[in-house]
Amino acid sequence: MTGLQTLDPLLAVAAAGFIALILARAAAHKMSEFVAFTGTLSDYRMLPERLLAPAAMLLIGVETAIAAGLLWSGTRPFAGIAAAALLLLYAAVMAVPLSQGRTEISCGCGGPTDHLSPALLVRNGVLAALALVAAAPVSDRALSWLDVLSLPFAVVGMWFILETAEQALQNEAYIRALKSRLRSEV
Amino acid sequence: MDGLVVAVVLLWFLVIALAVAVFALMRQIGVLFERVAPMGALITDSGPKVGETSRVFDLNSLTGGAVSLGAGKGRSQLVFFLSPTCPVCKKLLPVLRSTKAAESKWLDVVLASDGEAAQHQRFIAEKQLQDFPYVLSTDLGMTFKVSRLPYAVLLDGQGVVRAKGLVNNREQLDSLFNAQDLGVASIQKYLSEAHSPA
Repeated sequence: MTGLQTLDPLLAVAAAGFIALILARAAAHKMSEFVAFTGTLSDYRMLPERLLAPAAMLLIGVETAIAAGLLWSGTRPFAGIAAAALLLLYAAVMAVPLSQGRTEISCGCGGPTDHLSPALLVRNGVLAALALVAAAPVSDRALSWLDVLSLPFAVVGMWFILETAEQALQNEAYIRALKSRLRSEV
Repeated sequence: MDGLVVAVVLLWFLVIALAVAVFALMRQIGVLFERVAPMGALITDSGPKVGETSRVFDLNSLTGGAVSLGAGKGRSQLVFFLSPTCPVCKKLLPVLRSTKAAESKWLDVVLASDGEAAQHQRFIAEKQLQDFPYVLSTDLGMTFKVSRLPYAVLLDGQGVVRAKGLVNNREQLDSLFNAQDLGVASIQKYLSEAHSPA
């Protein structure tokens, strides 16, 4: 059995598809709201103004390239490792303003979440782990029609769980804002 | 067909249906909160609270003259925190200009930022902001706990904070004035008063 060192291909491919979808969402968000995203970048206070637009374009390019790389079995291990590195880099970048208590800046990640919170670091950690699953060497089990059915369902299922978690995070921000406002009126 | 295969296929459909249902519920909760308590411009809760009297800041304007913020000389003041490096701030400058003209009877618009004066002088020349008082003060930003730009604080003629918050568009800027016009600190207060006129 070589199964000890390798992963079932369905797990790796499903993880790769999911991470590719998230990166595509992130790139689409940055493209559709480019000006606002350069504003988000400047909120992080890490880059000088003239580098904001080039950095935003670079991030879009990197995200798109990794998402595309995850879709091919030849490039998947490299793209998986790159995706994990990118997600951990984002987590590190978000950790800086978080540690200073500046939670009101946007995460700039797409999806329903608008505020920075420690939960986003956990999310990125989980996603990075999934990206490494996508990068893992796979056994050569032939895929059956059941795998072909399971693959899109697994990707869509993970997608809805992520969206649900992010929406929950956003709702929590609403509840916090509501509470503090009610407090301030007493 | 193998019973296990049938079970797996059936479970997949159930899992997806449940995932969609849970997400829809979560989304509906979000929409409900949005309706009940719109974030509007009143997103932040740190710094001096609405209804509190602001400290007085005597500052020199980069465009000449002295500015006294929160001194309460009868005229309201809109303190607009911006930065030359903030794209959304630049987008809002025309809106500020029209606000300044339209509300000139009772309102002064003051631009505020911090950092190097030379950079701001270039910004003022480039965007032709000579008509606005433009103050640089780290203390001012710290006092109002400005963490995200563009941010606005509305002070009334007695130096009392009437409204404040993150302002990303014309509607949010207008919402600050609505809060002032209605004389209420927030939509909750407005709703509760509307429902119980006693």
